[in-house]
Formats: sequence, structure tokens, C-alpha cells
Amino acid sequence: MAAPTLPNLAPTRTQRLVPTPPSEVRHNQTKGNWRRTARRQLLPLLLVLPALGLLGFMTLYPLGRLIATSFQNLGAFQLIQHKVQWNGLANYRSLFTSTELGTSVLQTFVFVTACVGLTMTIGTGVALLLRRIGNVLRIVVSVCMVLAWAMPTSASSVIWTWLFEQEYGVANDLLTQLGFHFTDHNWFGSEISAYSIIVANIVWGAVPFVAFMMYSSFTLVPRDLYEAAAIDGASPAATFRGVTMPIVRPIFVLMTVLSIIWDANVFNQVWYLTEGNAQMLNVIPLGVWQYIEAFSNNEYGLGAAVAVITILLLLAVTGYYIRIMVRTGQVKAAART
Amino acid sequence: MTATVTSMAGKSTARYRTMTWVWRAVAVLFAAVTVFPVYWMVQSAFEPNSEITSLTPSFFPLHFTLHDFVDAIDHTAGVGTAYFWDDARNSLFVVGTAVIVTLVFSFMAAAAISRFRLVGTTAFLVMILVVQMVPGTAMLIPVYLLLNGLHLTDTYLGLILAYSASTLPFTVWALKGFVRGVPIELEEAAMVDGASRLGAFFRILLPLVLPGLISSGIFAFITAWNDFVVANVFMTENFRQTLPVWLYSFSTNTGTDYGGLMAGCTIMSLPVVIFFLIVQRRIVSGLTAGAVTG
Amino acid sequence: MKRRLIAPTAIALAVAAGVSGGVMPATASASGGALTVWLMTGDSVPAVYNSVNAAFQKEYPGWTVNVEIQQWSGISAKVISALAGSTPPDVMELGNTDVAEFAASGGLLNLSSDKSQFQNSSDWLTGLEGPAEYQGGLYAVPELAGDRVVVYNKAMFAAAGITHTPTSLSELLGDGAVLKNVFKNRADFSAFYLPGEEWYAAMPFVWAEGGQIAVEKGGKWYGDLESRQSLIGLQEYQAFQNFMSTPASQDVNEANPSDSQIFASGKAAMYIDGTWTLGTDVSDNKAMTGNIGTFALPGVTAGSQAPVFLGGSDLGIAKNSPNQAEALAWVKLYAGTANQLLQASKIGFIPNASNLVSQVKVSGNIATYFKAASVSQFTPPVPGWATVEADNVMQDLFAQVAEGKVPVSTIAKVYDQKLDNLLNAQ
Repeated sequence: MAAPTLPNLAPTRTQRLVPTPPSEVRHNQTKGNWRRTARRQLLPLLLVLPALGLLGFMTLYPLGRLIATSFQNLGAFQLIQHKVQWNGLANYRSLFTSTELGTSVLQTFVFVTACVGLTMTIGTGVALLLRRIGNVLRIVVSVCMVLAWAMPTSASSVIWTWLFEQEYGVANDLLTQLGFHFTDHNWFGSEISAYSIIVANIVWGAVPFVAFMMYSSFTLVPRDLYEAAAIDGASPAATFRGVTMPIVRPIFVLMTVLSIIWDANVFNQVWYLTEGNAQMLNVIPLGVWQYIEAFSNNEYGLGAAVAVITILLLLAVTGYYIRIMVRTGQVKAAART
Repeated sequence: MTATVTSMAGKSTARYRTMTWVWRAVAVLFAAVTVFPVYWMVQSAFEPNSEITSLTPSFFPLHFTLHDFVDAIDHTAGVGTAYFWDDARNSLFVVGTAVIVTLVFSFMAAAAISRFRLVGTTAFLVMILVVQMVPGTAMLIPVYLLLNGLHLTDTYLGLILAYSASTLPFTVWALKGFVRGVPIELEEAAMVDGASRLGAFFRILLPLVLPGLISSGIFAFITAWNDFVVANVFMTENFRQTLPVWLYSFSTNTGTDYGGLMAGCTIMSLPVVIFFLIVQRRIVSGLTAGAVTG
Repeated sequence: MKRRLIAPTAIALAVAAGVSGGVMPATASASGGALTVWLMTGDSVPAVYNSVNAAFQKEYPGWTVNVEIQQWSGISAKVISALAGSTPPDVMELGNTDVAEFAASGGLLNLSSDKSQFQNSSDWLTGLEGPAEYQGGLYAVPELAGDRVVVYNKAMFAAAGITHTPTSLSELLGDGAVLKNVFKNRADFSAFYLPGEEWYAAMPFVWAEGGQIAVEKGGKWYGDLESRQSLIGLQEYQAFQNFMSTPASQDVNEANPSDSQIFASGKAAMYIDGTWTLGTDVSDNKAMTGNIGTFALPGVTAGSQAPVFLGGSDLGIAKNSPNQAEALAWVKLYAGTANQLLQASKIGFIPNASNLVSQVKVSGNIATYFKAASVSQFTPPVPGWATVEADNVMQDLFAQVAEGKVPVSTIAKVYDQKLDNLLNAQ
């Protein structure tokens, strides 16, 4: 039977409480044993192959094409006539010399910070809340969240617009009834106000996912750790910080990084609310700008360049965390040899 | 694990119970706010069109009608025959298959990279994260190009591949985190008892990361289920399309049939909710706590 | 992106496209084949295209026609990729504001030499034919048209003592003043509800004075908003909008809040609407039945009409289509007299030629639309116009004019600049 490979996990608080199995399971791994290494690599390689194959085929190759396109002048004419017109860095140059790039990046930054900050905070909070309430209520809250999460963005955008309509919207109606002066308040009158609605819409749709992921991740924490902490008299906050977070941190960081990535590229919700409302085009996040260049203006080369710039920016912002996420696995694996 | 940690020494029972009621109130408020837009959509689906767009919105349908639902299902939109059932079937088939493919592939990959030191892991992980960074609209052109060259456009297989590929990155990363959270000693214990490495994966590890699988599965399902862009491009024959494309047909050049749109959305949300209700208990498997034996 | 689209979407599209589901390799007509036709949702019904198909199959026995209904969302990019691909659909319906872009791309078949073979081609509506022409060639065939006229509340007119519909702009303003007075106690009342962003309704004011959005000079297009006539038109629009419509309407569009709802609920005596929607919203409201009247927006001089904005579609044939002869035959049938009349009676669209317009038996309100189509204008037939629409330039322009925070001449200058840049982009 092939010797199982055992990454030597640096003992964590969790594992200290878990009895270690008999040491005969641990095998000596000598560096020079090629055949053994190869055979050891065979199983994991086979396991990774389907995912690797699918992604390589469906994403790597198209990504390469996209990058190539960013160095081309590609409009409707060139597309249809199959003319490949390389224009070097011209697309990038025109983007960097335009005022729109800097503005868009800045706006995207503020926008993403708001969306991600709210989503992660509320999402994790709700996950904790789910643990605290009774079973029935938990199912009720969960179903409500799933309903919100599952609603197609096209429908939710329509609904949100209706709810916040100036003269006939429910929001103004309710707020006025509660005593605030919101009759005929124009939520879409200023960019800040309108984008607040967009952010609310996005956060509303994103919280369920984060809440479920974090809630699932809480299951990784053994109950006896909580008992131990309670015996020690730790407050809920201290328990969360000291017991829960260390174990669920990978999921938390992952969700944050992904939220940053997704919100930077968000399109549907922003587009719907800005498309018909002329003034809103003063604030254009990156995801929308990419679309406008590529598809509205039929400048696919420029659109691809915006996409590449977006990727580089996101890499710069999240790179540090990605390194951490990747390294945590690697450090432990390397430690055994 | 059950929701409430049983009270023990150090916790004031009365205070704990009070706070529980506070949290329950918060939960109810949160649920109400969260579900309100959905409620609005559903109640609009039971209103006639004139009431939906009326200038005085009401919280409850004043002229309750099932007309919108009947309209939606019988909606022909110029195609000549109602194609709702075909598109519904297509959606279920394509999305269901894609989710299964995604979960299987990513579990295997996550287990492999977390439990073994595999060459190229870093590159693989970074690559799939980078792919997530590309604006969705940008990638579509190259992907379409690729599939077209292989005559996979307007086929179910092409769509399944596209959906799987788009949900795989997140799922691999998420499951990686979950697998890392499961102590390897559990699998080692099983192997000591005679299980193979692969067997340990599927009999020990898999059940323990089930919550992660379920959450990722719901994510994959919802993402693929609601996708319009990809489905619209890849499938042109009306009877081969999926529900989101069908949904867009309520918006025409001459106006939008809001009643049909709301009813259609409500119908579309049903499978997701049903799927969730079936699996929701598994989000909390409760198996880690106390399952660790020496 | 089209204004009429309600839901946002990212557009997918790829460069090469064998997009159609059922095209078989082209063979000689004798052995039969399949024609793929793309029609836009809401623009045709089986009764209409099936009759065309039947006639086509008499000419080409053994041939089938696959009609695939497409959504407006994302259609522009979808068509481009299809045209760039090796198996595009044979026939495509293209919105008349989009068609210039495709004509210039080289993806459509040049039909100039076939023009005389189409029935009524000498009478084709300029609003449909103009955009389909590019550098002297004809790249698509007019298919259907729609326009917009003024819809008014008969009861309100009666209450105000207005006995006949206005025949000039100044008379319309006068009627508005009377209505405002009669209904001054009604909250949020507009004599004529005109949302600032509804540029289709605003353009006629500029056109009525002889102004233009843009003109072509020596192969390049220049914004024409600063010309004397255009400026007068813009100023008249501003005065009209501010006087007749509520302040809240200055920076909104006609969908949100719904202008037909505002009219139906009695908050406006008049508004502008298109051929197609006259039915739904307003007729849903029982109180309005029998109470609706229409008239074309009058021009400056008495008895004249302001040119209407003609919306509609054309049919194009893909250059890469393997079935060009058959596609041509099908299009000839669809654009021919028989089908155009059938289309008018079944769906209510205005036929593609002015001589046909008078042949259609319509009466009452629908007749107003048909008659108004004879005096029409269209948007600059240049590829860059697609960007103008996508960037909401026209909505911006008229909203700003309506708001009046900046002098009209300054607005015109700024927007001419924008048009100069966008229209000539290549």
C-alpha cells in the first residue's frame, strides 16, 4: 500500500487537544527517493487534473487572448473583417492619459471599501447571530437570506428602483409615516445618495453568501474548545477572537478577498441604475467602464486594456493576502522535509 | 452544533436568556429587511399590471390575480409556442450537472493540494484567483471564441463547461480552507485502521467538509441559475435556452410586462429555495465537534 | 444600449460565432436547405412571419425557415460577433438606430443593385432607409416603423373648453395655459407631461425649427446644436417643458415614473407616447376608455407638423451567409406590400413605405400615428451614433436644457463638442 504523505502540520491550539495517532503512521521521507516521490505525486496529481484541465482550457487560454487583445485595435470593423491590428501600447497610453482612469480607480476604491466593509461585517455578524437563536428562527432567517440571494439581479434592480422612487416609492412612504420628512425625497438626485442605494442593493445581495460561508466555517471549531473557553470565563467577544477566528480565518480572508474582487467588477446593479439616469455617468466604477469601452463603444481592445489594468490593480491590493492564504498551506507542507 | 451553548459555570443564565431574546428580535428585524424586496416582487406577481405600475403602491395586492403567472407560463413572445417548460428543464439539467461537476472536481483538487505537497500548487491557486479578477464581460468574448471553434456553442455541454469553470475557482479555494480546518489526524486514524488514502478522503474528509460543500454548492447553483449573459450568447435556439434568457423576453422594444417579469422571477426562485430547504440542515453538520477520537 | 431596455446586462459576445442553431450547409435550392432568421422580441408574431415563410416555401420548396426570437439586451454585440463568424444567421432584424454601425462594419450584404426589385422601394420611409445607407451603398431593407404623437385626455379638454386640437405650437401653449388654470388645484398637475430625458419627444422641437442634431460635411459629422435654428428649437423646448410640465419631471425619463400612469391617473392632460403602448397602460385603466385622443405634435407654423422621430427596424443579410439568394427572397417577401399590410393590421406597426401608409385601413387614434409618419426624421446614420446612445448623451442634453441651470448656448456648445468627438470615432 502506498505510504500516505503526511504534511507535518505545525500543532495549533485545536490539535493540541486532539490526541495524536500512533507514530507508526508517520513515515520517514528521504529526499533522494525519486520513485517514491513520483508515486506520491501521482494520486494528488490525478485528483487535481480534472479541475486543472477544465480551468486551463476554459480560463487560461481565453485570458491569454484577452491580454493579447489589449494590444490591438479591435472594433466592430476589425472583428468582422478579421483584421488583426496591433497597436502596441496605444490603448494603455490613451487610458493612462485620460482623466477617466484615475477618477474611476478612485471611485471604485471608495465604492469597494464601502461594499466589502459592510458585507463582511454584517455577514459575519449574521453568522454569529444564526448560532445564537433557536432552530426555527434560524431556518426562517436562512430562508429569507436565500430568497434575497437567489433573486436575479435584473429583478432586484427593478424592485429597488421602485422602492426608492421619488414620488411613488414605498421607502418615502414608510419613512414619512414614521415621522421623518421624506415626502418626494429624490434618492437618485445626487451621486452619493444614488450610490448609497446601489451599495445597499449589492450588500443586501452579498450578505447571505458571506453569512452562510462563515456559518459553515464555524462548524470547524470543535465544541470542546468553546467549553474550555467558557470554563475559563472568557467573554463572547474574547471567545470569538481567540477561539473562533483563528480557525475560520482562512475562510474569512478568502471571502474578503473575493468580495473585493467581485465588487470591483460589479456591473449589473450599477448599470441598471445609471443607464437611464444621465447624471450618474459622472461616477463610473471600473467594471462598468470596461463594459462601456468594450461593448457600448465597440472598442474591444480598449476594453481588454481596462480589464488588464483592473486585474493588475486587484493583484496589487489583494496580493499580500493571497500570499498569506497560499503560504499557510505551503509552510506546513515544507516543514516536514 | 446546536445553536445554543448550554449554559455553564461562568455564564449568568438570566442575562444569557435576556440577550437571547434581544438577538431574536434583531434576527427578526434583519429577516424582515432582507426579505422585503423579495416580498415586494412576489406580491407584485399577484397584481395586475395596472396595479404594479400605479402611482400609489400598496403593500398587499388589491386585486389579487393569478393572471401574471398564467401569462408567464404561457408566454410565447413571438416564438409561437410557450417555451417555459423547455427552458425550465434546460436550466435544471445544465445547472444541476454543472454544480455536481464543480463540487466533485473541486473537492478532489482541494483535498489534493491541502493534504499533499504538490508541485505547482502556488501557481495553480494564484492563477484561479487572478481569473476571478477579470471583469465578467471581458472574458466572454475569448471564451465564446474558443467554444465556437470546437462547435460547442448552442450545446448543453458548452454551457455546462462554462458554468463549471466559472464556479470552480471559488469552490476550490473555499474547500481548501475547509479541508485545512479538518485535522489530518482523523484521516490518519482511518488509514491506521486500514483505509486507503483515497478512501480516507471520501469516507472521513468528505463528510466533515460537507458544510463547505453545501455552501459552495448553493453558491454555484445560484450563480449558474441566474446567469443571463453566458446563456444568451451560447444558446440561440429558443427551446434550448435557459430560464434567465426566457425572463428577458418580458422586456420588449415597446415596454416591459412587469406582471410577467415578477411572476417569472418568482417561479425562477422556487427551485433554489427548495434546494436550499433540502440541504440547509447540512450546512451545520455538527460532526466535527466530538467526532475526534483518539 | 437601448433606452427601451429595462434590465441591464453585460453583453456577451465573441468574435467568431456560429450562433444559429439550425443552419445546414448551403446546397442548391432544388435539394432544400434551412434559412435562419433573427427577429427581435415584440416585433413580430407567428401570424406574420408564418405567412411569409409559407410564401417563401412556395418559391423554394424543400426549404425550412428557422425563426429565432432574440432579446434586445446585448443584441448589438451579439450581431457583431455573428457577422464576424463563419455561420451567421442569414437574415437579421436590426434596429434603425443600430443599423448604421453594422452597415459600416462590412458585415452586411450590399443590396444597392437589388433595390429596384423590392416593392415600394422608391417610397421607403427616409427614417428607415437613411440609416441603412453607407457611403452610397444600401445595406438593409426597411421593415417596420413606429412613431410618437401627443395623447390627450378628452374629458379634460372638454372641461377646459378646448374644442379642437391645436394646429400650431403657440396654439398648443395657449391650450396648456387654459388647462393649467382649470386644474390649478390638482396636485402635481402637468398640462403636458414631458420628462426632461425623453429625447425622442424633445428632438421634434429642434427639428420643427429646421435644426439638426448633427450634419455631415465632407465625410465628417459635426454636432449642429449651435446653429441658429437648433438653438431656437432648444429654447422653445425649454420654455415649453418648464411651462407645461412639473419641475420634478425635468431630470427623469418616461419610464420612471411611468408617464402613461401619470396620464392615466389624471395628473396630466397630455403626454407623448408611441404607437405600441397606446393600448396597455392606459387601457388597463377603465376610467380612460373612450377618453383618449391623439394628435401629432404641431410645428411652428399653423397647420404644420413637427417631424416625428421615426423608430423602427430594418432587415439585413449577412455577407457571410451561405444562402444569400434565399435570404434575399425572404426579405423581399417580408418587406413586400402584402406582408407590410398584414403586419400593420396584425401588430399595428407602420409599414415601410409612405404609399402603403395611406393604404392601411386604420381609423381613430391609430390613424394619427400613421399619418404623422409621413413627416419624420431620423438619427445621424453613422456608426458613432451607437456610442452616443450608449452614453446617454441625448438624455443628458435635454435634461440639462430642461433644468436650465446653464444657458442653452453653453449647453449646445458642450454637446456639439461631444458629438464631434463621438460621431467621428472609428
